[in-house]
Amino acid sequence: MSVPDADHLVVPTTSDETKALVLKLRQQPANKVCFDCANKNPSWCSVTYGVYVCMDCSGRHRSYGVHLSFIRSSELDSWKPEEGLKMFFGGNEKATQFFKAHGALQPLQSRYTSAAATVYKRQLAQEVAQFLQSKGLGSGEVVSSPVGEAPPPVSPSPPPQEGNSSVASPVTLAPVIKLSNQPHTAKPKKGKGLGGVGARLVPAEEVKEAEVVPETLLYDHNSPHHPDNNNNTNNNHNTNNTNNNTNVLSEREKAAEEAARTVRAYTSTTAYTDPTTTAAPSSSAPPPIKNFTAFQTKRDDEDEIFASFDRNKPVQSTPQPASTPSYNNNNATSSSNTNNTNTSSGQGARTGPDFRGMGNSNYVPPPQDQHDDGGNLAETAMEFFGFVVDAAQEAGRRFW
Amino acid sequence: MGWFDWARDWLSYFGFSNKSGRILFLGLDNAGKTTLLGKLANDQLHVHRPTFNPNVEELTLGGIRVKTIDMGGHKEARRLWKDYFFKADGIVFLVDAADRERLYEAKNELDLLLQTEEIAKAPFLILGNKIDLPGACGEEELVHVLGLSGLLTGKTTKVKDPSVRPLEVFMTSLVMKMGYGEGFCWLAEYLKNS
Repeated sequence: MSVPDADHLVVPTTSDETKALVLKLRQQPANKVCFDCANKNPSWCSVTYGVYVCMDCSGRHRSYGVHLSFIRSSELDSWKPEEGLKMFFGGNEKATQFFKAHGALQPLQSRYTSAAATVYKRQLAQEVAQFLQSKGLGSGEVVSSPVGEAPPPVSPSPPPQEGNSSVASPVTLAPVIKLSNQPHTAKPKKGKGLGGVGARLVPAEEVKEAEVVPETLLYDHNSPHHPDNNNNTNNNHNTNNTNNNTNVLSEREKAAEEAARTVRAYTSTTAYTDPTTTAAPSSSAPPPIKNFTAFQTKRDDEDEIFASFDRNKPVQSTPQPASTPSYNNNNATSSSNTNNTNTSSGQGARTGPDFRGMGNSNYVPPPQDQHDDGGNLAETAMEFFGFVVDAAQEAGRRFW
Repeated sequence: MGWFDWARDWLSYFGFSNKSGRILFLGLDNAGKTTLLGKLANDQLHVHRPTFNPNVEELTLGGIRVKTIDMGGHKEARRLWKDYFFKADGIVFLVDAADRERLYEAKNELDLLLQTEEIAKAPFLILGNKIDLPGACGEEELVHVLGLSGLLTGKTTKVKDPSVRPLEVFMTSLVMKMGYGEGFCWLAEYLKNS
């Protein structure tokens, strides 16, 4: 494989280098098939999930909005280094494994609104942030920049000085750092758990709170093969009971309850149900996660907003279930619409848009008469008559 | 109607026909340019592939026949923009208001456009699109981030001074059918003059 592993990866610093990396990653066998459909040689990337998708699927992704999927072209766009790293740490294979393991490989948008997708997205961002931090490049906040500030530049980095490399050392010269030269200690642990998820959350300001990503994030806490699964669910029940009866909670039960609450907070916003069991999410208390700006922006509003309106429908129609995103209305036409976009040649001269209903979602356009030849003829004749009159007036004005 | 077209063409050649104009749809990729064009042209909302080649449609805006050209928004495709500046009577610049991370990129492109000599007179309609999505920024925020605070010329008042370029921001949502009607009415007012 021509693509180096994480230890030997030369961190790209410019758009061109990043693009070269992305193009190289494209050569991997798993990345030669679209993540969403079976099309070959996809050239578009969903940076959010680090997957390669084909052109049609990229169009669909674009309609989801950037909070769900951010699409870049591996050929046409300029790339930020973090984005390239996301592709490096992601990849179709890893994503497929993850989604399959969590039963979230359903088609279309529900795949990307599922909790599993959210977790995967966050996990990937975390991994990249962790990696950058371990290289002394990023501040851990890779996924988003607040609007009020300039886009986060990846500071050009100095060559690591032998024997003098601390993780947080400010680097200023060489753009390329080989990890192997660097005897730092915060190397991300690869290969642990599902899909190589071993990235640690290291918030810049509170390193002491940093812990290994909790298993709750991986959603395998409910799976039957989880060692603690049965115990923990029992614990949850016990917790409630003891809470009612004796008001005495052991430390462990408190922790379990806290964990359950946290997990509920994660999962309640999406209609994700674990296929293996419906037991309440359980223990192994996750540390409070604070650094995920991109993910958490408007998470709470999301369902509310989706549920509160039906797009493309009159108001009085029955509301769709909240989990069906109304963008789906367009999915069926995604392949057939390419003809419409190019020219108007098929329909002759356009009669123009109907502005009457604009800004008013209640407006139902009146049934339009067929634009057959007679109508067109009459219309054009009238138009022509108007021209003649105009011309006559104009000529008259000029003449006199 | 070949004959009518022929006659009309000749009439317009001599300046007797109604006005016509040329509008460019510009903006970053995934801002909604092609979707907007599809919405205006045949009132349909489609999921489009990324645009490679410019799409051209003829529309009627407030009695003015307009040729609208929808350009691709990707980095490479932006090189084509300048080839279409010639005789552009109006610019519609779309911004994805929900994509906060790229507002600065949009600002940079917009600044380049505003400095371009060829379109220095053309009215600029800036549409903050996708306000239906969660996390979309509001109008004040968009104006602020795009650095247009002192430059807007007013949504209802019409600029008389020919040395001032009309420039206005409207917030829209194509899927909710909101906002772009006002925006194009505003633009049509200026196209009538030109």
